[in-house]
Amino acid sequence: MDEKKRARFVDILLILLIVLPLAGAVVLKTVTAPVTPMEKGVQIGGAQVYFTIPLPIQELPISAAQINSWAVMLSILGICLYLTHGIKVIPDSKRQLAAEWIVDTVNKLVRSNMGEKFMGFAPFVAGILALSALSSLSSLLGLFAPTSDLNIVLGWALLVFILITHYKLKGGLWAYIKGFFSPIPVFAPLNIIGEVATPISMSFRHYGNVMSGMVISTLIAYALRSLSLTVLGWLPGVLGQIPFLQIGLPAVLSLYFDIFSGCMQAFIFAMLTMMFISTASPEDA
Amino acid sequence: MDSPIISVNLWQTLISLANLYIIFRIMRKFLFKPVQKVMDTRQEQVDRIYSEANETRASANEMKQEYEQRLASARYEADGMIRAATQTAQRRGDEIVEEAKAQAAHTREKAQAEIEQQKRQMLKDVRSELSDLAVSIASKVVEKEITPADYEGFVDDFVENAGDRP
Repeated sequence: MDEKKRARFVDILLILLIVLPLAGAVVLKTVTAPVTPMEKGVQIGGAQVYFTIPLPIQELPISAAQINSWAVMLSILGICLYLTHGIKVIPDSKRQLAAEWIVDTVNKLVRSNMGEKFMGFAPFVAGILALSALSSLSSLLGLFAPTSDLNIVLGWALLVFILITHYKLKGGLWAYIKGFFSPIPVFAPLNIIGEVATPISMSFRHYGNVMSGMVISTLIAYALRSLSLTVLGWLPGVLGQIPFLQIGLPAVLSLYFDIFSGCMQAFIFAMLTMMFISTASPEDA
Repeated sequence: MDSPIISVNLWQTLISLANLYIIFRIMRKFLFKPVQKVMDTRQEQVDRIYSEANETRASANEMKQEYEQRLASARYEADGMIRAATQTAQRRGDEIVEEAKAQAAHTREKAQAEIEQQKRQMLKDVRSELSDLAVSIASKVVEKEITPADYEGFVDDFVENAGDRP
């Protein structure tokens, strides 16, 4: 009985660990968000910067994207701990089934796309999927999606690029260099550009999709609000100030841009990661 | 203050890179390792249970075969025993019947011999009585004493003739 109570207590703590970071981020945003008056028109910018840390080369701005990505990371940690808490050989909880389903699905994905010798990448792929999808989905809470900041996605793409290069170098430094001069030496500049283009295209694809979704959503919401004020402004009192036309369409757009696009981009990023790494590895290694 | 909508910041990029690495470690340590461990343990248990079941079935089959064999041999033995017993009984019965027959024959013979002897005895008695009777009649007739020995042959003749008479 005492054991059960303690398990429940830990469960509650873990759920708090999942919810609190995101809730904190929402609160932080609401408290610090600058009020932009309607008359100034629509403003679309990057993440809100809270403070900057002076560092060599370039100063480090701590922005909403940073804060939100840490909040998402804490949530993921909480989710992992919650799903595997009280895990048993003979499962008796739905969350264990969920955890096993996740592990099994990602394992299958990695096995079919990369092969048996890359099974160590399963947690990495799961990490990309979780971090990317949850970052994009955090916009549903009204947060600034970390994935709509280029630096966040560029960091991930750089890590993938490092892994690709690592596996290419496994075939030997000479083979790696020679790869740039094939099939004929004239292709060297193209090959080098192609190599560098991998992380850039990956990061810009992801960033661009999420960011553009946010931009379109903001623009349409603003347009609908203006339209509503123009068409329905004659209504008396407060009624005229309520943007009735904002009901409906933004929700449908959010369904596409936030949920579908966010999950799709996470999946695409993960798939590309698996493809690039498995093809970079020499066949016989 | 907002950051520009598109900008590249080295430190932010590096932090993000580290973040993904940390998430990878978190996923591995807190999700994949425990779940994999549990799944492997379960697989192990299932395998063990299956192999145990197979072993048990094999031994059960073996035992069944053995029992069947034993049963068959027992049946064969019982058949043999019954056959032998039947034969013995048959022989014994035959012997008993044989013995009884022999005894009956013997008894009949003995009885016949006895009857024969009694008959002879009776004849003898009758004969001697008749001879006495004849002597006494004769002595009455001739009025003189005759010794039985003198007339033995005569009496015998008489008896012979008397016996033949119906």
